[in-house]
Amino acid sequence: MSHQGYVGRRLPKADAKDKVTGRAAYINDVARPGMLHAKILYSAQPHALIKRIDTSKARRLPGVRAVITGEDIPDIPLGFKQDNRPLKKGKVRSTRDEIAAVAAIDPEVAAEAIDLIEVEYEPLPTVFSPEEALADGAPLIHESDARGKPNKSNKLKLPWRLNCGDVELGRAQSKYIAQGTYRTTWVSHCCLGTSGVIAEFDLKRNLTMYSVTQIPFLAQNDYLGALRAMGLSDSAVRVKCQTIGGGFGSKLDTHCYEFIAILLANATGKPVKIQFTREEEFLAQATRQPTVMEISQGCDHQGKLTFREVHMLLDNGAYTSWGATTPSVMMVPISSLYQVPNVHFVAESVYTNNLYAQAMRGYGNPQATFAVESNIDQLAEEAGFDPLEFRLLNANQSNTLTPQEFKITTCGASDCLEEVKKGLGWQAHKKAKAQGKNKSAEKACGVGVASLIHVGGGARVYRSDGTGMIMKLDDFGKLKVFTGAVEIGQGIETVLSQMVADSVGVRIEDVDIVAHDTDICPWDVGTHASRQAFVTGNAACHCGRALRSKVFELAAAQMEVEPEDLDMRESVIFVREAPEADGERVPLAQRGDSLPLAKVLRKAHFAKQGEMVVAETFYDPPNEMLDKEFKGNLSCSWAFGATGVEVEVDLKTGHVTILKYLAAHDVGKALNPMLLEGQIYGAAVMGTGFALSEEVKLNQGRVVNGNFLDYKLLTALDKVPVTPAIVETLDSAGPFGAKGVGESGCVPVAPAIANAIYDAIGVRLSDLPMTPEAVLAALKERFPDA
Amino acid sequence: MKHLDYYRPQSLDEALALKGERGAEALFIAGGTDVMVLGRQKKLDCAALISLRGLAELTQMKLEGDTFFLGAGVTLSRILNSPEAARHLPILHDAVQVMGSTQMRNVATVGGNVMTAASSGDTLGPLLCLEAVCRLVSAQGERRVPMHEMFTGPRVTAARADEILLGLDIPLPTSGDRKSSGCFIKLMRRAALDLALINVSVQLWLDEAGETIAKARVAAGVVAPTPVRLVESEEALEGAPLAEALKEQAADHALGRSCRPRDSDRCSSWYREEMVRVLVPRAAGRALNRMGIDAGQVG
Amino acid sequence: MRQVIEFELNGQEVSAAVTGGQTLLDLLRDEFELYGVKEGCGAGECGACTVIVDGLALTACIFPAREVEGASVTTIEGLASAQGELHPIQESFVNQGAVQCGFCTPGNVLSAKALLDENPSPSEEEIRVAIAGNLCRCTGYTQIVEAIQDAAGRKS
Repeated sequence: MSHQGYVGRRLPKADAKDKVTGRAAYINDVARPGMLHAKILYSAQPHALIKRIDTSKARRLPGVRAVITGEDIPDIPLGFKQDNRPLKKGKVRSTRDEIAAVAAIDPEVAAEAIDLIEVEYEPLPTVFSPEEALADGAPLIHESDARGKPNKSNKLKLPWRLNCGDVELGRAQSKYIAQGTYRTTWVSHCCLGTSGVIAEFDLKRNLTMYSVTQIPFLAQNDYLGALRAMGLSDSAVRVKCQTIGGGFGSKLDTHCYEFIAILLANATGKPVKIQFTREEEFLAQATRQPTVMEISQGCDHQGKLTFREVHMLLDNGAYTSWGATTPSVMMVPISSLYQVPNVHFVAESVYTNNLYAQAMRGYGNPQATFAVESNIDQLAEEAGFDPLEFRLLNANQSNTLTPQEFKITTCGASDCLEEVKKGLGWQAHKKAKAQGKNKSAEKACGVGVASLIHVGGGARVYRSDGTGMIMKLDDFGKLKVFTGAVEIGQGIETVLSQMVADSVGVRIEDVDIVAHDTDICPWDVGTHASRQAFVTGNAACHCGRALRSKVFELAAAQMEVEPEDLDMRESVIFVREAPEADGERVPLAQRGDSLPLAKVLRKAHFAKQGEMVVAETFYDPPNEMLDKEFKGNLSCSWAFGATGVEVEVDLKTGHVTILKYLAAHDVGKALNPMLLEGQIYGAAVMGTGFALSEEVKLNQGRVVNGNFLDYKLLTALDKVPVTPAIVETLDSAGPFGAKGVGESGCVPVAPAIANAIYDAIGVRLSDLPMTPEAVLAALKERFPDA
Repeated sequence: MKHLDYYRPQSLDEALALKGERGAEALFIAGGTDVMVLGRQKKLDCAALISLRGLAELTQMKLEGDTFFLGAGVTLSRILNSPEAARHLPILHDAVQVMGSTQMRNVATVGGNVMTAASSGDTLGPLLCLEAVCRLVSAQGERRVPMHEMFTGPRVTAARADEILLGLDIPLPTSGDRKSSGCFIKLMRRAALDLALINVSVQLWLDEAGETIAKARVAAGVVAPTPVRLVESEEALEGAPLAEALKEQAADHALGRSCRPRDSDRCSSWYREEMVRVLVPRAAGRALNRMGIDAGQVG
Repeated sequence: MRQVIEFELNGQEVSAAVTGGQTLLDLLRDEFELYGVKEGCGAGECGACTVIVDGLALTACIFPAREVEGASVTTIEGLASAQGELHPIQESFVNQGAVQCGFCTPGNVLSAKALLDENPSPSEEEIRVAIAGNLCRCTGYTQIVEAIQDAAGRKS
C-alpha cells in the first residue's frame, strides 16, 4: 500500500470523456456483419390457452429469415423457479408473455412480420391480485411446478420465515404497540438506454453475446444451460458487455429476449439483434417487487423496542425472477434496523396474471423500510416520543450482534441521525409547529426522518461472493487490471483505478481497467448488492500487494538492496528511509536509490531468463450465506444512514413539495466524494419517484402507462434539494475503510417523506406512490369536515 | 411511415394547392410533435404530409391596434420569449411556460395545439378566455371562427379538411381603459413534460371602480370531451363583487353542466372536479394580483 | 419517394437522400453514423436524441428529416475537436460528475449548449427549465446543473 492519496479525491469518471462526446458504444449503437434484427410478439391476453398460431404470412414476407414459436424450440426452463420459457407454448399467463419471434433483414420488416402472425386464444379466468389468487377456486396460473408436480394453489413453494427471540413475549412486555398495513406497487427501472442483445455463433458453434448484463458470469452459465437444451453441449459462451445505459438491478437476471436472440441466431446462422423499444421496456422488463406489508412493533415504557412482526404478501406475477427472493434482503431492516430483540417475519409470493418482478436498487429494502420506518413513527407517537429521539434511543451500535446474527462492526447510525437533526433544523421546526407556525389556510409544512441499514460488505446470496482480479504490468509501466466488475454508470472503474493506484504505488494515468468480457476477465458474481467497490477494492489491495512484492524482488536485485527496503510511489521505486536514528533519516543505500518502474520492468523482461510481472487474486469476502433459519452474517460490513426531509403539502390539491432533503450516510470511507455524492443524489431522486410519482399502472394485467409521458419519472424541474452528509467510520473489513453505498440512498426516502407528510397534515399515507390525489383523498377521509 | 410523400410548400397558396391535389390522403403538419408521434405509433392514416413549417404568412406575431395577431405557425418558445405576449396575454404566457419541454416548445406551434384540439391542449383555455378568433383559409378564401365554436368534438374542429389555420386574432383584453388580467393554472404530476390532469383559465375584467367583475371568462381542460368555457360560472361572476371569484363555489355553477370530468387512467373524476373548484378561485386570485389588487385583502 | 436535401451538419455542408416520414434521428444515425444521437423513447419524451437545429434544441426522434433542408444541425459529435479536445460544457460535465451511465449525456450537453449560446449566465431555474426535457435516471440532475453553472462561469 502506498500513500499517494488518489483514494479520497474527487476524480472524474474514467469513461466520462467517451460519454460526453457520444463516443461510448451502447448496445443500441453496435452492429455485427450480416446481422439480422428480431422482434417479439407478446400475448394479447393476460391468461389464455393458445389454440392456434399461424405464422405462414409472416414467413412469406420478403426479408424475413426465421419465425419461431414455442412449438419450434427445445424446452429451456428459465428463472429462479425455472417456471418461465423464452417462448410460451400452449398457454399464456400475462400480457408480457413472448409467444413468437421473427428475425428479418431490418427491424421494420421484423415488426411488419410480427403483425402478420395470427393467434387464436381461448381466454381463461384471470387473477390480478395476490388476494384474489389465494381465494378458493382461483384459477391456477401454473398447473405444475418445474419438476412436474401438480400445484394445489398459486402460492409459490418459497416460504420466507424468520424467527428471532420470542415475539409473543416481546408483545407482552410492550407498553405501547403500533400497527399498520403498507403497500407498494410496480416500479420500473427506466434505464435511459433500452435493453438489447446480439447473439452470434461462430462455425465452431461457440456463442458470443453482446450484452448489457450486470452479471456476465452468471449469465454465461444461464446461456450455457440453454445451449445444452439446444443440443450444443460442447459450445462455449463468451459474454461481452457493451457500455450499459443504466442498470439498477434490471440486468441482474437473464431475460427471455436474450434466449430468443440465441434461438434465432442458431436458426439463421446469422448474428441476431434484439433492441427493445421504450414500450417494450415497460412491458417486458420485470419491475420492482410490489408488496402488501402488515407490521406491528412495540416498545416498553422507556421507549426501547420490544418486538417487530411483519407479514408480507408479494404479487409474483406470472413467472419467477428475483422479485420472489427480495424477502432475503427485506429481512435486513426487518430484523436489524434499530435494536429490537424479538422479530418475526413471514413473506409469501403468489402467482397472478400480472407483470413479474425482479431486482431493483435496494432489493426489497426500500419496500420493507417503508413499512418499518412509517410504523416506527406511529409507535413513537403512541409512546409520546419525538420520532428522531425515539430512533436515537434505539439506534444500532458498533460491535453488536443483531437478532438475525449480523455482526455490526462499525456503525454510524446515531451520527447520521444527528446530522439530520442538525441539517434539517429539526428542533426549530418542532418549536414552530408547537406554535402553529407551520401552516396556513392553504399549506402545511412538516419534517420526517427515516434510517436505513443495508449490506455494505458484499452479500453472500450466491455460493461465492467472490471476485477475481489479474494485474499485468507491461514494459512501459502501464498496469492493466482485469476484473469481472461491470460498469453500469456508478463509476466502479474510476474508484477501482484509484484504489489500484494507491495499492500498487503507480500513477493513476498508468492504470487501465479491462472489463466486460468473460473470455478475458476473471470471474465475478456480479454488479449487485452495493458490492463492487467493496469486493474489487479488497481484491485490488490483495492483488496490489502481490504485484508490489514481485516488483520489489526484481528491483531489489537491480538496486542491490533487500525487497523490504523498497517502496514505490507514483511509479518510482525508491529505497525507504531508515527508521529515525540519532534524529536523522539515513537512506539505506546511496547508489541507485530510486528507479522508474518501467526501467525495472524492462530490465527484468529482457534479462536472460527474463520475467514479466503479473499477479492475480480471487477475493471472496468473509461473509456468510443465510442458514436454514435465514440467519448468519450476510455481509461483512453494514451500511447505515438517515434521510430527513422537510415537505410542504398543498392542503387543497394534495401536492407535496420537498423543501429540504438531508441525506446522511455512513460510507466507511469516501473513496471518491464526487462519485459518492452522485450516487446519493441519484438515489434520492429515484427514491422520491418511488415515494411520490412512479407506478407502472396495470388494468386487467395490461400496462396502461408504458411511456415516458405517463410514467412519471421526475424531471430536473422537480427539484429535490439534496444535501449529502458523509459519515466516515473506517471499517476495517473494507478497502481503505469503505463500505458499499450504491443502493443505500433510495432505501429510506419514501418513509421519510411519508413521515414528513404526517407531521405536516396529521395523515398517514400507507400506499405508494403518494400522489396528490391520494394525499387529498386521505386528508378528506381523516378530516371530513375541513 | 417512411413511405409518405412529404411536401414543403414555400407559400400558403402552394400549400392550399397541394392539399387540393392530394385531398383526403394528405395531412398538414406544423411542428409535428403530435403528428410524428402518431406516425411512429402507426396511427397516421395518410399518404402525404404537407408541411406548414416556416410559411411566412403563418409565423407572424404582432400587435396591431387592439388586436394581437398570433400566426398559427408561431412556436410556443416564441410566445414564451415574447415580452409583448407576457405583458398583454399573461394567461396565454402562463400556459406556454408549462407545456412539454424546451425541445418541444421550440418546435410545437400554437396552431398545432389548436388543430389537434385535445381536451388537454394548454393554450386552448386561454384562447377561449381571450375570445380569440380563428382565421381559416382555403382556396375559397378566409373565414373567421370564434374559439368557442371551434371545438366540435374530441380532437375535432370546425375547420374543414381543406382549410389551414392562418392564425388567431386576439382582441387585447386591456383595450380601452378596461382593467383586465388573467391566469392559467395546470395541474400536473410533475413540473415538466406532462399533460394536464386538468387546467383552468380565468380572465377577469373589472368595472371602472375596480370593485365588481364586469366580465369573466372561465375555461377548463380535461373536464369534458373538448376544452370548454365554464359559462355558468362566468354568468354567476359577472356583476358580482371581486370576492365571489375567490370562493371555491365559483366553479360550482358549472359542475355537472359544462364541466363533467371523467375517470381516466391518469386521474379520478372526483379529484378533477375538486381541483376545478380549487383552481378557478386560485387563478382568479392571481389574475387580481396581476391587476395590482391584493387578493388576500378582497372581501 | 426519396428527396435529396442539403444542410449543414456539424459545420460541414452535406447532402442526403431522405424519405417522407423519416425522422432526423434515423437520418443522423443510419446515414451519417452519428451514434451520439441516442434514442431513449422515440416519442419526444426523454430528450436523449436532442440536437440543435438553427440554434434551437429539439428532439430528433420526432423531427422530420426533410425539415433540416438548408438548416444548420449540431450533434454531440460537432462539439469536441477530432483530436478529442472537449467543448467547455463537455469539460464541465466530466469534471463535475455529471455523467453516470451516460445515455442521456449528449442530449443534456446539447440542451445546455443551446441555453448558454442564448443566455451565457443563466439562473439555476433557467438551467432546470432548459434540461427539464432531458430525463436522467442516474444523477438526480444536481451535478448536471452544477456542470452547466460551472461551464457558464468559465465562459463568462
